[in-house]
Amino acid sequence: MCTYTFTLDDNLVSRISPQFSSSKSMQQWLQRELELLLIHHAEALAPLDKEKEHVRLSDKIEELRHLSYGWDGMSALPPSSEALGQAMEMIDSMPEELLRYCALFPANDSNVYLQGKFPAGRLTAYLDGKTITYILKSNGTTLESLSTTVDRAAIRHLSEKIKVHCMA
Amino acid sequence: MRRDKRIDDSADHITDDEVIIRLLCSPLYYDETTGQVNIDAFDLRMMGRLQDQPEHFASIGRENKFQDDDEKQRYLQFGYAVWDDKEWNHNRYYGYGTLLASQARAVSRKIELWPLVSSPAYHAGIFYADSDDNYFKGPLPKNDPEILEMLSGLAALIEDNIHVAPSRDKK
Repeated sequence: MCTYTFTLDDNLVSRISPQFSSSKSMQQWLQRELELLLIHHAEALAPLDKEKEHVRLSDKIEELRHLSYGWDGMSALPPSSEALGQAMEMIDSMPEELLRYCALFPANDSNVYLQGKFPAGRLTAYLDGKTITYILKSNGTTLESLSTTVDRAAIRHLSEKIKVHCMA
Repeated sequence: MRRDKRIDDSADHITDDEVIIRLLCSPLYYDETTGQVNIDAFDLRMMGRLQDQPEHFASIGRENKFQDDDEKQRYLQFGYAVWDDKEWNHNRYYGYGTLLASQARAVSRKIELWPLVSSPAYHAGIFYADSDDNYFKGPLPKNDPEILEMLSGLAALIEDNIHVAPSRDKK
């Protein structure tokens, strides 16, 4: 970054920018521009709404809780409370920046899917209330494909992998 | 060896360049916020209404069998027909997605595409062969990562090519 320091006087102003009648008017204009710039920066650097995506997916879980038999028009079972609890544990532990790319779906056998379509990858997770089976792909290449129990350490591991390989 | 009696062995195979259409018969098959398709849209279902003659397949349409756009629109109305008339409303059916038969086959060596006897003109099915060269009876074992990956690959194929359902009023 470069820093320039100079003194504005009427002579300099009239030479570099004739539309300003004086150094004062140019200073006022610069002040306004600087304020606008700071506002834009403040908006860009403001922390994400930490609850927005979490709330969206929590609402989805509540919606799935009220599904009945045959939600697909055929004979699909509603999601079990165990599978929904597991989904809630997942979204409670995943960072907001990843949740914005995620969707929850019912499976037809009383389980739940957590699917993520990230800028450079894809997560497909099948939650049966006890274990999670998931596929994590980055740019078409499978990074992980396994079945494991769900705990916070496993979710953190998965989240880190997504951040590194699927968000670029 | 094919177990299901209602699959026509003598019918032509679905060719690689055919466009196939997957009806998304429930709004829970598509998430408008993230543009993702529920991978269960490709899970095997027992579509036959008679218990002694169930059909196990993911039902899809064959675009090149439609003579004109009106015929295609009539096929797409089947998305509504899945639901009981009493329960019917416009929100019940989201739409459909399209993909090439060759793309579906490329997702997994387990995938086979066949016309169906019940309505060969426009109706086909995706079948999944297991290791003994038989066919799975649905639903599929989705805690098997290979199966999960296959379904995920099929759903990903159509996510960029989703179409809103036509109005039922055009029926």
